[in-house]
Amino acid sequence: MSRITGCLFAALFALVLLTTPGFSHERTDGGYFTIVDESGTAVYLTGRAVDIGDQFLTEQNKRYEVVAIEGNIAQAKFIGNVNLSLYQQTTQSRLAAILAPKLAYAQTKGKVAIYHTHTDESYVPTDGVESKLGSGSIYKVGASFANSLKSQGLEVIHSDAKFDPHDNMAYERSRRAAMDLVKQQPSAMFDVHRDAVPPEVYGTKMDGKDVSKVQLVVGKYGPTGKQIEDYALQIKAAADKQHPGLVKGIFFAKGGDYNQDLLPRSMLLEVGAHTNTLESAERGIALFADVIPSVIGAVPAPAAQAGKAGFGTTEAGPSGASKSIGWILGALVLGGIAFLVLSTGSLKEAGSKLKQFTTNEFANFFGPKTKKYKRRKDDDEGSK
Amino acid sequence: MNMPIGMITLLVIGVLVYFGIAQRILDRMRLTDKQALLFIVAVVAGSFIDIPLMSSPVQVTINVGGALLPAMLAIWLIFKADETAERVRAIMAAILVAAVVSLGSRYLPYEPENMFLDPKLIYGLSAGLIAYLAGRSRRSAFVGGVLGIILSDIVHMMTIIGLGVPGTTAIGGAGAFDVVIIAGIVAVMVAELVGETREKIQGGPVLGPNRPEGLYEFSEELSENRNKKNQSDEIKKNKTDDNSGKNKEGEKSE
Repeated sequence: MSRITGCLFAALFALVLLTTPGFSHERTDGGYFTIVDESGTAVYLTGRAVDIGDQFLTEQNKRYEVVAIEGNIAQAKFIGNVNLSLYQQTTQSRLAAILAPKLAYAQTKGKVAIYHTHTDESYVPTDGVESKLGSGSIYKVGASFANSLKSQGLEVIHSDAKFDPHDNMAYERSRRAAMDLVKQQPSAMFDVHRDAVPPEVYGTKMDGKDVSKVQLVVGKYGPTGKQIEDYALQIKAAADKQHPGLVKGIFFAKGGDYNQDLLPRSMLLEVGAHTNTLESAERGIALFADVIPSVIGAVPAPAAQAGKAGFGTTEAGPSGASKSIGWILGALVLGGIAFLVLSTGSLKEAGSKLKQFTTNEFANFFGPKTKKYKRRKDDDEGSK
Repeated sequence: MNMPIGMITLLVIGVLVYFGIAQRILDRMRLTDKQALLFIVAVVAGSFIDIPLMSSPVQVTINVGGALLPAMLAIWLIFKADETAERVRAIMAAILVAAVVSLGSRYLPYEPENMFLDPKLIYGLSAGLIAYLAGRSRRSAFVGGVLGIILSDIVHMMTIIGLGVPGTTAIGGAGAFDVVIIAGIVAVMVAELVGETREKIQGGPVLGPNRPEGLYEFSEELSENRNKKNQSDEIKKNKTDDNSGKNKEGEKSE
């Protein structure tokens, strides 16, 4: 009987797990979401399937949260204006200056890694199709990014690994290539994609040429989500200064981590949409590359961002890295307590189990403390 | 790497917590604390070694730390199982996990932002649930999680060969941070959570002569050793506080 109850309980849990995401399937009808604010004005358009709780930062640095979705329209609540100047620290805090690894700073230039999780993504006006398995023109956008970075003296590793088909495990497969890139110690890593919205959303003109804008996507799910959020704001701050209007905005997705947990300077970029031309996307990403050296600290100038990227400053508050550390440690402590209580049945029992853990559990590493040993000696003999 | 101190601290803490949890999980896999730690060291070192298996029509590699070592541990656990039924259940769990992952990857939304959980965790969670259903043991859960993901990689490899899609299959390529190991760890955690919750709902496990036949749980092994030890502890405890109702729970907890 109890076994049946157990099975039912687990099956129910599995059902909930596997079906809930099914309600919010990726848009395959070529549609996209128009996100409107309280007054009904469209503030953001994206081909990413939007979920309640997702947040985004518009080009004008206004932050919203999606509160309701009806058909193709998502209703968003205005959260506040983000002061990006806080993300452009020019001076290092004293502590950071002392603790900063001098060796690392002595390196002249940084190294940037680029890969593409969705290796089929293409641009319809240029390629005729929106998807070419294994050989999407997204690689050309990556190459344009790489060339532009190289021309600024940065070292670039551009991965040509393929992860098709474009399915739910694609990020888990690209995680392997991403890890390979991390082993080569890059200062920053980019997963370059394209979006799926009408051309005017990303299309713009800069210096008289058609350019596709760039959207940053932050995975809020991973343990380092807060840190990545700060990093995205730093990038936008730097981009707004150098090429105003180039970064379309930041999308904060609550459901995934996009492998951004592997490196604190990981970012997912969307360069234009399938409706834009490849050439405009190549130009967009090349301009975006101008921003990178200052963001990763390869040049000392405007955004050395020590404050926000260190532990934080008084005026800007704790940094994303500090918040992420807090989240990880908080989850560890809460999870530990929950496990203890669940597995023992009462706080008192949990306490004694914890005591047993701290005194006895690692005895085979270090040997028990002498004092404890004496007290337990007769117990051990009894068990032999 | 040229990174500010906050990021470096975050990296260090993240890695310590991750391996700390992994160590606690591995020491439930017929490994002692020391062996579990050595295993983690081997996984980290092995993360840097990829063994090429084939190069055409698709390139297939297997990572020593991310797939080979955990797979070897899982297979060893199957061989060391006490009874054939347990072996069958562990293997069944692995096959079911592979099926769920392969089907899930095809039919679940392919952008993680559409899900409330990262795919990595979804597959780990389903592995834990399936393995718990099939084998009701933490070890089955680990075997299911690890071998299930590896099998699903093989299914993926055959799919892309069948479709003629150019691609690569790097089994366990992300090493210690690969979904193979994450699924194994999460699966054990789920088995632990579901098992403990269920036990709690029904008022504790059945111990002694009435224990259901064929029900193997890790706690059984522990309680064998600890019961003896607890007996003397309990005598002491009963002297000081007289709560006879707690005795049974004390036995269960360890």
